[in-house]
Amino acid sequence: MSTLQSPPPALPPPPPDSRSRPAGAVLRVAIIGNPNTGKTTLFNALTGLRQRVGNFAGVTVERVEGNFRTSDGRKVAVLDLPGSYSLSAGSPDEKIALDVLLGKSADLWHPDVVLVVIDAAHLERNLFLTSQVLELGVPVVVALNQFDVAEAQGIQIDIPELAYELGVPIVPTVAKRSEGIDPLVRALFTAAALPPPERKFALPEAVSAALAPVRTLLVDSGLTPGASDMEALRLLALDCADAHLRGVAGLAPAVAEAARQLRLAGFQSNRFESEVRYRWITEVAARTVTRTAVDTSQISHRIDDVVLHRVWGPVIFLLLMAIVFESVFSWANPFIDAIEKGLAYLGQAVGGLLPEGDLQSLVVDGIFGGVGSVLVFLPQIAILFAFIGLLEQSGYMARAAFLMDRVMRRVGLHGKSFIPMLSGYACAVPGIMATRTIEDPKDRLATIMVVPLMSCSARLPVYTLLIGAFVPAVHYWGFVGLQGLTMLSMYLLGTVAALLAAAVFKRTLLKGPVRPMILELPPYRLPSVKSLAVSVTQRCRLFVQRAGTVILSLSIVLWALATYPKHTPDASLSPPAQQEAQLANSALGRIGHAIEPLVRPLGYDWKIGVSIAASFAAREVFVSTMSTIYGVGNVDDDAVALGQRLREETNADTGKLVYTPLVAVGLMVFYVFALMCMSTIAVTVREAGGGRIGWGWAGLQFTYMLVLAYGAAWVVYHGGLALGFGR
Amino acid sequence: MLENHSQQTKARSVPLPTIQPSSAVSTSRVCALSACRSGSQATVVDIGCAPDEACRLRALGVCEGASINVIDARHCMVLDVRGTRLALGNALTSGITVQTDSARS
Amino acid sequence: MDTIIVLLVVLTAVGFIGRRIFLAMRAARSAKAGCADCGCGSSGGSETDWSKS
Repeated sequence: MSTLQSPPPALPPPPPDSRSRPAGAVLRVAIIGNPNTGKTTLFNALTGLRQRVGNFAGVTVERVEGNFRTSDGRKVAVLDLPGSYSLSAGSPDEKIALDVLLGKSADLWHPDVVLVVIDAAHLERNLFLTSQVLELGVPVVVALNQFDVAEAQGIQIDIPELAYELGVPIVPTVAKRSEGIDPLVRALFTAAALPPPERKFALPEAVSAALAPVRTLLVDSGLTPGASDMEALRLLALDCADAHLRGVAGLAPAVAEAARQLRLAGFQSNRFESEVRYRWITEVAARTVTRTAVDTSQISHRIDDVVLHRVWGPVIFLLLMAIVFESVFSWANPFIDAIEKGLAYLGQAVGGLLPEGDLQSLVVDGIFGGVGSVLVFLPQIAILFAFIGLLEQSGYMARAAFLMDRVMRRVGLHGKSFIPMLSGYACAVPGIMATRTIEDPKDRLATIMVVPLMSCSARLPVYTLLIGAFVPAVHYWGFVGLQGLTMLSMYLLGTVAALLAAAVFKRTLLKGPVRPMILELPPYRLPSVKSLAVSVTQRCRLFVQRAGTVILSLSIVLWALATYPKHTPDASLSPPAQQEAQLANSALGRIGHAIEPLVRPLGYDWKIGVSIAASFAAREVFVSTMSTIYGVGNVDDDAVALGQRLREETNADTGKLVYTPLVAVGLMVFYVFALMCMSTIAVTVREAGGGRIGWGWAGLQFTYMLVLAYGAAWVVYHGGLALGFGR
Repeated sequence: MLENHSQQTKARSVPLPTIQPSSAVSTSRVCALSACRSGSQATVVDIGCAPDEACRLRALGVCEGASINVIDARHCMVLDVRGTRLALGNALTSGITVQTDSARS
Repeated sequence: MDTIIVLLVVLTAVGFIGRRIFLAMRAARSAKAGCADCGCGSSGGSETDWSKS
């Protein structure tokens, strides 16, 4: 791979200009590129895990910044701009990218160099954005990424010629293997010291004259001459009512007049920019790209023939989902057992070091019991996230969104609403944030309202505990397990409920037409194992962090509520009964008995009731609360698994089993529907508009889900009783 | 060499089409994209969608003069444009006018 | 002695939860907050890049 990064030794040093930076200053690099070019992989290859995720001020667009040091100690700050097809600012993402590149961003982060990431296998389309960026008056470096894929498809790019055409350094890279990174970094420093590139094509005289007044207005408003040229051309295509034209006084009429003059000269103003840019792009491509092999193999297309098939497509999709859930259940088991045993051993060892008393109880029951019962689900979380990551990185997710579009439209949603909903299977918070890609505000709001119905990973501990305890481990046809199927049913229930709820919202509060579908189907690619491992590790780390902080704190508080106030034991009772009495008289017990009337219609006792109440903060707390309650009441030193204890628990008054499979199913159904997450509420408030409006929508969301949860659990329990189950 | 590229590369003059649809295109082979069959090839003549959608389409490569391969002609069409696979909804494809090439299934 | 330790631990836990609630409310109010403030178990990132068209 040839690159152009080392300057020939005979040249004089570049003249000092305003662009030369003091030695030791941080080099600021903004990365931009089309979606699916491996931009983020390149960003990760440059910065490793030294990244910080935040928000751009004032808008709900994610801001990812990282940094690294070169081998000779120079510091580089990298800002990963959102993936954009052009700078035409149709979405908040693109507007932010444009603001940053024009130096207008609110946090005053001005790039010294812009790194444009291009997919070498799709050069022509990628050059549209590149041609716009080249005119902005900032130094540019181009990373020709996925170079290996292009070579494999028989695409050959004459890099020196392309560098000549674009007037900037071009570095071929294979980001997923971290190839080309060093030359790229050197090119960044070289480019920063050079004058910026300019527009590479000339407009007809008539057009330049027509655009001159617009250009002047933009220069006066503070843009560089090059950026003004780019903007003037871009604004021609916009509707005169567009918000961007209202930013500068007199701009809208000036653009309208320029458009009129263009039409007089025989050009179409709304398509002029794309025509002139693609003309230039076609010429550049003709000069620099050769295809040595005719691209007939196209494995991607063959796969699509099957995956997008009218009948087989949905079947494959459901099959994939079933495999994911089955594996989450069965593959994780050995790891879960190992963690359970390890924690039990650790808990007993630490407990043995402490004298009998409250501190020992706090450590063994409150901390180890509470947090440990959540930590055991780490393997399942890891497998779930690994599969989701695999589907995303391989390119299948776009096909899934395409397949789901039909179904989505029936309920009045866009096919793209499927993506946030799918993210909701991992966690509703990023799912709700992913709705930012939905342009229509009503579609977006409807999606936000239903995303929490998708069973998130926090529900997994609850499902697993109850299924593991009450659903027999039976297998049909050798590999389809009843437990896995039950799990899948819960997930399906949530999904169907989400679609129906969306249909209701879109027909009532959020009535409106649905935007047409535009979706790129990226070529399939083998996911990078390293990238997948990094992302799964990050998520697991965050899960453990959450367990070690939020869940730990909640467990400790709950333990305290279950242990105090102390009750004088009645010596005539047996030890287990004494413990029960203590529990019933503690703060937690009193609260539990107080709310018991609310949950008895659903078939629950006060212990479940109080665990449900506690888990409104975070769902996993249900498991840790139950674990604490049963640990606190348990005199035995044997570490009996919670599941087994639940199966054996009998009601002191009636002597009947407290937990039957029917109760367990009803409880799971409750958890499918109820919104029990502080984080979700907080994010909904923000993304639904903030302030009173945001709180209004969040309140509606919480209420309707609670009503649904209670109602469905009631129907399941009483319906089941009527049908003869649960006796 | 590299340092002088920015100054030396002169802006090229790019010849531009002034599109006069009525004279250049035979009306019998012009139709909406949504009417095309799977496997057909077409050239975009006009994009008659809402301005922001048209903008988006053009940035993706679907602009006047672009050549399209129709991969799958169902309600939501799957197309190949400049090597990129796109799925476009019916509301859009019915607004895009194309000139079909000689029938090829 | 043990009682004091238990009390300290419990108070720390209560304080931590209070702080979390406060942060979440603040995150709800301002658009500036990022992924980390909401305390969820997931990182954001460009994984939704493919839906950008």
